[in-house]
Amino acid sequence: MSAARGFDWRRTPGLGTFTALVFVFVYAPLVVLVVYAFNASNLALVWGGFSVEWFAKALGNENLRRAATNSVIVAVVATVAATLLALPAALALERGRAFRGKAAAEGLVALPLVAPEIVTAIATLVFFSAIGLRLGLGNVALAHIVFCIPFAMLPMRARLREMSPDVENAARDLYADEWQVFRRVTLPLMAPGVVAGAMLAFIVSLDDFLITLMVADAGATTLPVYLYGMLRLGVTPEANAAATILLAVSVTVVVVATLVMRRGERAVAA
Amino acid sequence: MVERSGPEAGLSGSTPVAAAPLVAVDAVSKVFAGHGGGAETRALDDVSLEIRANEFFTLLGPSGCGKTTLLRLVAGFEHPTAGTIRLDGTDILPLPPHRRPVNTVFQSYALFPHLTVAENVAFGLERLGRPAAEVKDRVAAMIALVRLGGLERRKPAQLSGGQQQRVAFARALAPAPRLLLLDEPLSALDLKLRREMQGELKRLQRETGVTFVLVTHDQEEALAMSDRIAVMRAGKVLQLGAPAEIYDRPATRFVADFIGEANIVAGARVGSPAPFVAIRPERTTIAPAGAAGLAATVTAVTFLGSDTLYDMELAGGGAMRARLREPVPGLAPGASVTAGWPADAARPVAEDP
Ligand SMILES: Nc1ncnc2c1ncn2[C@@H]1O[C@H](COP(=O)(O)OP(=O)(O)OP(=O)(O)O)[C@@H](O)[C@H]1O
Ligand SMILES: [Mg+2]
Repeated sequence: MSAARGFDWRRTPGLGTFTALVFVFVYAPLVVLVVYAFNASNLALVWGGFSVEWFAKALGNENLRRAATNSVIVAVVATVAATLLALPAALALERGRAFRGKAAAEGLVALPLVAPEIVTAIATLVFFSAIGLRLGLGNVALAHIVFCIPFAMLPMRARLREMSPDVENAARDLYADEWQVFRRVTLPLMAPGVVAGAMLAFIVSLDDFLITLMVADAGATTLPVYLYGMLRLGVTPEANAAATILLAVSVTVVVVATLVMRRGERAVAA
Repeated sequence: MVERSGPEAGLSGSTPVAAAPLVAVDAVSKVFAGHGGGAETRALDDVSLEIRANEFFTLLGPSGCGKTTLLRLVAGFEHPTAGTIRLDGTDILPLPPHRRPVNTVFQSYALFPHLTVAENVAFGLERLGRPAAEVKDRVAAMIALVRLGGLERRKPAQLSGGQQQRVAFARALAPAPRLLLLDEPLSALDLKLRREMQGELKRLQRETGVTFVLVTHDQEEALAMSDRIAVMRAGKVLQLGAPAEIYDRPATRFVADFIGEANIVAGARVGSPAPFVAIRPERTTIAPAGAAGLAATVTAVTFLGSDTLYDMELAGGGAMRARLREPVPGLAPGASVTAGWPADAARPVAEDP
């Protein structure tokens, strides 16, 4: 490399190949999963032609349907509740006056993001048995609400941090009381962050396995836990098809969240 | 306190004791606690001043002297550590910002990015619960006043900097506040637009009759626009008076140097009892060596078209500058001369507090 051009890491030899390998490594299993979901053969790993039969079979499996319904119910309840709880918490941390223990509160709020999930799972299980809570699916939803709150808060806080407090002060200056400032200025401006937080909570809840496995009773299984159970009896194309549906839902939610965030950013970039 | 004699002399000199002031800031101090054990900042130190109804009042001072802090105290975004602020004779300190009949034009404009121009201007009127018809008329009138007709439906992001500025003025003037606070509203504009907007601001103030309090660190802007100026430094008001008064009779060394240009000479060297005297370059004269005055050597000659600047070094140390209409023929750097001035040009000034 000539010194005159300076160092440019994009010119590292073999970088292109390396990048390609990383993509293969990450996506090859997903591609295999999706391709074999359309496999006509009933042997999971022998190609027997294209078919959507396994999707039909998966959708016709009553237990699988119940697990999927449970997943959606839990995800919706957890998303709504976690978003509603995360919103005031994000406002308090980003806009509230300094209060005693604010640093500690910030740390505690972030802790579930870094604590190993198995620890949270065991803690939740122990806690529910200790207080004797037996609400079936309610237990699962409650656990999901709790671990979704910090995820829902992340984009909300990021959004609030990039919004100039001057705009809210301008509303205050123009005779808006605290509620009107929130309703007319803060909430509309942070809306993309709220939407992204809700989407994130939805995904995290939909995809959760460990905590649900610990907390869920027999009738309260969610889709990931049910799929795991299916696989123990052998890999079937039906499981592939169900997993593909779960993957499609997750990707859709993430894409929508990204688009909403982008649109919001463009609207506010003044 | 010696420094107090300046501002007070300035105040009583220009006004016979008039009607009650619109705003009375009395002995206000503001101390910011240091972050994480850092030293505290005394942003305002025992500031007292009065603002009269319908005047164009300017807070002028260098960066960090506390101008924004004083505005934020009046608007209600901060609370003073000590002192009182009255508006129309009422103590406004217990009132939150939305209950003070005071509006602000922010340096960043702080327009509502999700609302149109018309919705931005209507915001204050709607919060005050004015009837829809009145809001509509008033918004139209304000948009006409700031000459933004045709842009009512645009969002702030679709406007130029100058246009956003005008929206900020219209939005703050629409509720007809008793007092309009402007924090360096023109500093984000380029020079040409800034000169144009200075004229606009004067016009807006005349046409609305609202009392304006402008913050700036641009002394030319302050001199050109204000009825009265408070010169601030390090949290204190050094002098308060009309522009001509402050320019002709600066109270302290800092004021003399900050407002226009001044040659500052120790009083003892020129037989004055004051600690310093200030002489404007345009009143400084150059005589041949040996004449009465201060012996000096010319160090630089700068031709400016209408004027010529002569920089001199005084024999006893210190520098001096003369700005002459007519250049002195043959006077070049290195020449020995005498710097002088008419007796009335040397203004006694105090040391800064
Ligand atoms: N919220 C705050 N916390 C701590 N210190 C502050 C705060 N606001 C202002 N200060 C300090 O108070 C002093 C005065 O600040 P202020 O913003 O009033 O200055 P200014 O005259 O408006 O300056 P500029 O012309 O740069 O805007 C500065 O030393 C500043 O660092
Ligand atoms: Mg400032």
